[in-house]
Amino acid sequence: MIVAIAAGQQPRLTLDPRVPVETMTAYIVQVSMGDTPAGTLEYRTIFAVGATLFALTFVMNVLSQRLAQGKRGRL
Amino acid sequence: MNEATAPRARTARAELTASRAGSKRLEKAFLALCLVSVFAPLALLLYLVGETTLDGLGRLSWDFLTGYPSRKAEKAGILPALVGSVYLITLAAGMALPVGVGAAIYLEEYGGRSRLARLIEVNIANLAGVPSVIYGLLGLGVFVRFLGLDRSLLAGAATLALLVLPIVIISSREAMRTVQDNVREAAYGLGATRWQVIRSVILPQALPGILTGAILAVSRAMGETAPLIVVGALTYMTFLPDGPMSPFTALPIQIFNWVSRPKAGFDINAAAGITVLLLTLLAMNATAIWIRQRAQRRA
Repeated sequence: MIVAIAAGQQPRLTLDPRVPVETMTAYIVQVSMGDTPAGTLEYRTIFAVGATLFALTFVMNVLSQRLAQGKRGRL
Repeated sequence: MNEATAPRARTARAELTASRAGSKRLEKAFLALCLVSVFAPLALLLYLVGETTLDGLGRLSWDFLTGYPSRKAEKAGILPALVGSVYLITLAAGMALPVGVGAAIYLEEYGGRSRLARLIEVNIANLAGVPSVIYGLLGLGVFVRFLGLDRSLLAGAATLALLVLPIVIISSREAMRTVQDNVREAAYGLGATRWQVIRSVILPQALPGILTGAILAVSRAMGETAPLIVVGALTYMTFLPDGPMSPFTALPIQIFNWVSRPKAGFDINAAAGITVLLLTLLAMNATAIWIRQRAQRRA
């Protein structure tokens, strides 16, 4: 949520760390602030973005658990 | 030690002393680096809190606490947001704490090492790492639309309860795991049933730890903005919520709203709002710590 303020709210594809960008979280929040009736394209899009975000964090969570378990096995 | 090895041993010892002096210097540098990593963020945090408090001090007054939002910055207040936040965390804690502690007791005392318990454990660890905005989407899909709760306090609180549930479960399990096995076994040895052991040995001893988890959970719920906006909290509310089905707003949302307004004066309101949020959190944490220490003394 903090990044919604700090990173700006301008979607753009860049590797330059000095320009404002938009995170997935900020996008979902921004769309939700307006009126999004069920079934509209915007409504479906925030769920699609959310699913992508979940998939990404899920992979990282599984990886971290693998790492933690590997460590415990060796000790 | 004979004639031939003595000089070799002497050089080895000299080398060791030399490298020890070097490693001592290295350790000092490492220690300095560690101290910097401790104090740099602390100083930054202190600066931010101080700066914000100073900015907001001028707006902090009884009128600010008991006022309603307004288009004029100097007339705006935070009462609906404050009341909404209190409602939200009370409802959310009421839902998350019993369920979370219950789940922890099952996993720790009854679940054993079954495949099901393993699967649940992995899932909870995963849920703890999911971004909060996704809980907001879940709340929007399940509570707001499917269960038809609409954009109500109850839907927001249920979403927050889901969000903090993994925290409650994980910290309660940790607390129960710290109860020593010999205490447990002594109770069983006296002929106590599993239920008696849980109720009168494990839970009282684990209570301080469980309460610590509850504090963390409530503080987290209090500061969350993104899931509430997704669930459909109002950003401009000129009345007080009058029950669990009422529309709502919360302190972080009010602050976010003020921060994103370009007009002068609202940034001061935001700073004052942040100060109120911080003070409320501090007061809640202090109360919880006091309760925990009382529990610790009794246990």
